[in-house]
Amino acid sequence: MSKEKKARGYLTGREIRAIAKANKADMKRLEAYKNRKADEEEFLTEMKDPSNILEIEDLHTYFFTEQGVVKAVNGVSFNIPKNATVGIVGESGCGKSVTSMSVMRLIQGPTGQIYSGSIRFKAHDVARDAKGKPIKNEDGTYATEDKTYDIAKMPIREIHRIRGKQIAMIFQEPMTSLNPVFTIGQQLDEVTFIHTPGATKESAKARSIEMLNLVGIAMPERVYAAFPHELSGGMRQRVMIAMALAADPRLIIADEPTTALDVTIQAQILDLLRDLKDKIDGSILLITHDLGVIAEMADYVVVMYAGKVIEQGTVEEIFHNPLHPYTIGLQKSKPTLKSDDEALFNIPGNVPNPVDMPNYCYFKERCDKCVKACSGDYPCMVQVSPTHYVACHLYDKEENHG
Amino acid sequence: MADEKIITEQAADVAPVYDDAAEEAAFKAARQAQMEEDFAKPFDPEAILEVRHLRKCFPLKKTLGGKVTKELIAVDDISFKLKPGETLGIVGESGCGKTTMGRAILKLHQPSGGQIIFNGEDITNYKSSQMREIRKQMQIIFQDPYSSLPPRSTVGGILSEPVEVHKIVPKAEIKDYVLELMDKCGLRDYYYERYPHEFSGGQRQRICIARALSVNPKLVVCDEPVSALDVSIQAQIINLLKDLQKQMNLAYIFISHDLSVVKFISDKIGVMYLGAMMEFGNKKDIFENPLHPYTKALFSAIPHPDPDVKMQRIPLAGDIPSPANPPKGCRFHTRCPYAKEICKHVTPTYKEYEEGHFAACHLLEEE
Repeated sequence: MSKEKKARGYLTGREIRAIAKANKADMKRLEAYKNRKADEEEFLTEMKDPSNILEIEDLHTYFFTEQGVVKAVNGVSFNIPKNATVGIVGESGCGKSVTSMSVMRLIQGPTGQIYSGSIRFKAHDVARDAKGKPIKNEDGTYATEDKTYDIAKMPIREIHRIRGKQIAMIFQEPMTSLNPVFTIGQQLDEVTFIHTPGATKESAKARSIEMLNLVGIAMPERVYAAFPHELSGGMRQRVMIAMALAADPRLIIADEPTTALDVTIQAQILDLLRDLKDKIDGSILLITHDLGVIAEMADYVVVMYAGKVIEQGTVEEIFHNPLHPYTIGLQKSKPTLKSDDEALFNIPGNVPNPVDMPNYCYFKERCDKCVKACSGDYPCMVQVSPTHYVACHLYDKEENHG
Repeated sequence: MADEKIITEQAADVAPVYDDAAEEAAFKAARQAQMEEDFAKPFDPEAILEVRHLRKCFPLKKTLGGKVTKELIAVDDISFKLKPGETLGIVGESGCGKTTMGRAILKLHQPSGGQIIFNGEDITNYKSSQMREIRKQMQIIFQDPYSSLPPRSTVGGILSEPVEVHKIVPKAEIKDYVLELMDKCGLRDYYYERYPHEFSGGQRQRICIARALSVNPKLVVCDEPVSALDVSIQAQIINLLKDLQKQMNLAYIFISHDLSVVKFISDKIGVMYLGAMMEFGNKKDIFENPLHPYTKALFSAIPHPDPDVKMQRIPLAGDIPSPANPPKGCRFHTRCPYAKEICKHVTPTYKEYEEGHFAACHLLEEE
């Protein structure tokens, strides 16, 4: 095969068949694991650090495509402490959305699968007896207890214990995430009906109106009866947030919540999210490509590139002392209102092909600070301060010498 | 003493009763007079593009006879001048008419009123056959590089077609000309045979830029050229646009909702809201001394990528009103934190407050 054809990702028939065969075996195994019946003991676990609400450890989420396996999330680890906002930042295709989808178990099968790793989540769920039946109190309510689930190991039929109730999600595009043929009220009530045992029509409506009030909608009764198309983009996003809050979640995942909105509306929504975090006593996982939003909202920042975490730390560490050349480049290439330069700094080149990742550092081809070690193995995470980690060979040298 | 003063001031605020119809009639008459005066002026020989009182309406309701009973004013009374080699940045929220304005200038929409003077010619009422000659000199780059390239042509085909149609170079030299152009825009020569789907967003946007520049234009309208791209790719494209401007002495109209990008590339900036220009001026004036409350609020709403900088936000309540039914008086009064009684009834005039710095606001008039 000519070199150029190879460079363009051309595959022979034999190669395609080999890929399909390997994919089929993997997909079948993972799909069966996902759909299995399992006792609670199988996916109960313990948190490594009790002050965290979510711990992701060495998560791998793969997509089995006809061109080969796309390792969209390739060994991601980070923690979300209680009452904190963690921001994931990265460019499109870096795996930040897939990470959040893995936490919600919303990866579209059979092509997309969580391959390995663990996602530990501290849930506040109903207590169950040995047979897996919920335990009822004497007054008819359900007893609750704190337990830790490993979301990656949960069978998909048990996921409703967490999804929507303990972890809620706010999506990027509010118009496509609301159903156009139902009123806002019907869609909000549904959350209460599903997740609150013993909910009546009246109690569900009261809860929905309370939530609409909480997110700052001026006429909740009117919005309750309205259809999604009657609302503006900002209002729809507020409704989405109300819907996420209706089941009292412990963690809210906001996947680019303001990308589709104008700056003035974005400012309103960000203020709202910040207020709500204190009111509901929960944590937020904020996913965005906008460094400005991260700087304003997050306590901890995780920078992702090509499916891996390349740097993580507190917001001050990432913005005042960025270490990885990619983080530095990303910050320099964003024009700000305060900067006054002639030319913008730019990171040359593109992200490598996701099917055919090199075994050295993925950023090597675009990096201007390459050293000898960069051609070797992929760099490990190096700890530079109690909270600051970076995956770059520039810094492991220092560690060896020190 | 001080209390008394406040009370009298408030009283003065509430006292006048405005007759909406009369105010509107007076405003329309004043605008008509201004328009006639401006239309009679000779064309500015230095400017490549001069826009005078541009207006674009879309019919919403028609009677059976075809008479328009209700219309949406997408672009209302916009005037500016642009010199060769300059960049005019247009910012505003979605639905403010910035894209419609860009297209009306290229006559992709026929303007409903006003004058467009391009290179010393009034092209407002040119027929499409006459426009063909002019189109060589004015081009557009669209927002979405994924939907603006034909999937069935190769890059070479896409770039040679305009050169062939407009007879820019003899037929035998087309390929060399295109290859040279591709080199200028940072595209490798072996891309010539490839199809658009083989490229990433940034590369496609480079193809769109090369296509726009293939006919040697003097004016390029860039309609949100970088908003679909990632930050690091965005920087590459902006630098390319700046380099090409220097080489070819291009004039840009750069439409974007991202103020920081507009600041970086523009010489002059116009801020639009609901179809009208709220403020217009040199970059320095707009950023160092914004006059209009809307401009100030827009600046304060942008999140700054530094956790220590805590911006004093000017809160804007609510959403943009529907352009089909804009508020009476000043369009911005429903969201303006400083709105007064006069703002609800009287349309503010668009005036020059400093040299080359225009704005439309009642608060400024009082000062």
